[in-house]
Amino acid sequence: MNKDLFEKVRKKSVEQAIPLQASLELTYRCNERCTHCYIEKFQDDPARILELDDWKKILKELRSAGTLYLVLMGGEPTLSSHFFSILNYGSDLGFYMSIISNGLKIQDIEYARKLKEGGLRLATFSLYSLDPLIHDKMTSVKGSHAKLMKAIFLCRDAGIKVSLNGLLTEANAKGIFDLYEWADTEGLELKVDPNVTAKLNGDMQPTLYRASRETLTWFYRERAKRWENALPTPVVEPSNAYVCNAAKGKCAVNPYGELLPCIEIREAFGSLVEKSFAELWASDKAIKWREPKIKDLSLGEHQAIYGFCDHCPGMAKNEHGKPMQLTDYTKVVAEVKSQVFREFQRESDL
Amino acid sequence: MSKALNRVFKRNRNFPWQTLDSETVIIDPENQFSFELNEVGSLIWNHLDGQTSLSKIKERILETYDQNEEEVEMDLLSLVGQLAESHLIQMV
Ligand SMILES: C[S@@+](CC[C@H](N)C(=O)[O-])C[C@H]1O[C@@H](n2cnc3c(N)ncnc32)[C@H](O)[C@@H]1O
Ligand code: SF4
Repeated sequence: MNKDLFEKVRKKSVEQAIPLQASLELTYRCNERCTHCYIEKFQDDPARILELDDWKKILKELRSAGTLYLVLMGGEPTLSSHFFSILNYGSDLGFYMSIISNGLKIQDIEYARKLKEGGLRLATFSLYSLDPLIHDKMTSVKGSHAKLMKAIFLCRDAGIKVSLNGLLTEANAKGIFDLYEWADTEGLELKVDPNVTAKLNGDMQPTLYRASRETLTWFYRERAKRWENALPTPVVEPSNAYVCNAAKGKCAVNPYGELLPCIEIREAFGSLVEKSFAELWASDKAIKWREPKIKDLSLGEHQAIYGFCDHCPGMAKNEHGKPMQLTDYTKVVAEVKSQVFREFQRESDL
Repeated sequence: MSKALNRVFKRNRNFPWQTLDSETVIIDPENQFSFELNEVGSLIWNHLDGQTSLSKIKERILETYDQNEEEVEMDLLSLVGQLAESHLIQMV
């Protein structure tokens, strides 16, 4: 979409709380066991898992609510028995259909073509390293790197746009710039995020893999050295700006049909099987998550560097129960970014 | 009535779209271009479902808006022509 039109649509969606993007967790099941994964149990409760007709009802209601972008994820979305039906149904309704996947199921061109014919527009794959040993160690599945590489090229050959998610952890940091370079050569957009969240039940185990302060400093310095526009710069926003887009321009649905403010905030507004989207979207719980503004945050001594903070109320709530308080890790990342910013400013002043 | 109004078109599923606040955006998946339709254009687009004939769509517009019949017909055919030319819709 052209930039101006996209900006206009995005603004409208935030101002009027139109959920332009909805993430659908089709299943909690997965064929990998990533060491950092936030999913708590890789199982679905058979008594609660949605039938295809439930998903169809939800898709129709999201359509009426104004959703344009649907992200199918999980767990591993391709393991859902309704995966292709939902993909096709969503495309027929006019959604921009995308997936986030580990790629393990996409192993022949017929499968990739079926995705393309089903209307898949974008496949985002989670690739952690170019080194198979590191990737496979992170996913706990031997051979997963080779399979994912195959999936990336099959999808591209089938004419599907591909992009990459690469989490920054202590385990894969060393090779992260090789990954950037490779993605660049292949013309694939790569997002690298250091924010490893706790498990959905608050278990902090995944956070043990977070990049250390030293690694983060090296990472942001190196990025800034390599690419002019990669220097972390503060985002200046008025204090009455919203903290994030949850329950406004985006929402999420879990495998049991519960409507959430976003993927990270796991406080359900209610069941979309029992109630309508419109009713849940107008509920007190939804309004509560829609309201938070920057001025409502307890920033303390980090007020001055808030512009460098990637504060996520969902991540914070999971981690210490207080959505409006920064996590220690958010503070560390912001401090590192601010330090690197100052270092490079000093250099350019000299 | 122009014979062309007997035709039935359907939206091409390769182009995701959404109507927000009675305006419609249609996007090209590769983000090469996007199309924006106003209120009347959106009403037309929403009826290009592979079942509703252009004459029915014309009736809907005349029911909803106080407009001259000839102008509505011309505008409708012109928009449908543009959409078909851009492969956003196809005749069934
Ligand atoms: C939960 S996965 C589901 C889709 C699919 N199974 C995959 O891995 O691509 C969605 C995304 O979340 C990322 N992710 C998993 N655990 C995470 C965590 N604790 N913190 C941040 N991102 C995480 C994955 O790397 C992946 O890109
Ligand atoms: S593949 Fe995705 S859902 Fe499965 S364990 Fe890894 S991050 Fe979690």
